Amino acid sequence: MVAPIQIGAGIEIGAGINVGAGAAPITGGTITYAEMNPPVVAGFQLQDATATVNGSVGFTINNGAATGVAISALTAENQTFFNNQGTGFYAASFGAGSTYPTSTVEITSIPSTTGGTLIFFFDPGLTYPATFNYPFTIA
Amino acid sequence: MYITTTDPTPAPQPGDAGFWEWVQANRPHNFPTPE
Repeated sequence: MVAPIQIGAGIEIGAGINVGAGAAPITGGTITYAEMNPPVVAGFQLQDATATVNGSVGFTINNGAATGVAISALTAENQTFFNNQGTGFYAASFGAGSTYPTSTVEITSIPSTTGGTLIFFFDPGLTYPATFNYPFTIA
Repeated sequence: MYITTTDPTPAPQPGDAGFWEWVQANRPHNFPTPE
């Protein structure tokens, strides 16, 4: 048994001293509407110029040959997260009311190479039209 | 003697003309997902 150590009143812990073991948890990876740099416009943030935008709720991709999404207002935390993650295929989950709760997405550009913008593609193998509601979580 | 440098062309941003064409041209992967 490890005897508990109590820190009494009036004792301060200096800067740079960590309590407990383990690295800081990995955070980030969840994209909100605000990070889309609204207003969302079909053909701008959404590759599909025929997409149906539903305000802060989400959007519907109608053209399965144009499934790209550009997120240009990522939080600093998410910029770090996606820069570390890199390009490639990742599992993603989408908000309530989405046609598909989960799917694979393809990250093609990370913020460090595109002036801060994250670009990913929904799987063109899904059946479209398909609605995707915020938030998006890419892990 | 002058040494000239060329700044890298900044990546276009959503809403810029030709943005999605640029994305497609620089796409390192492509669906379908590799086995």
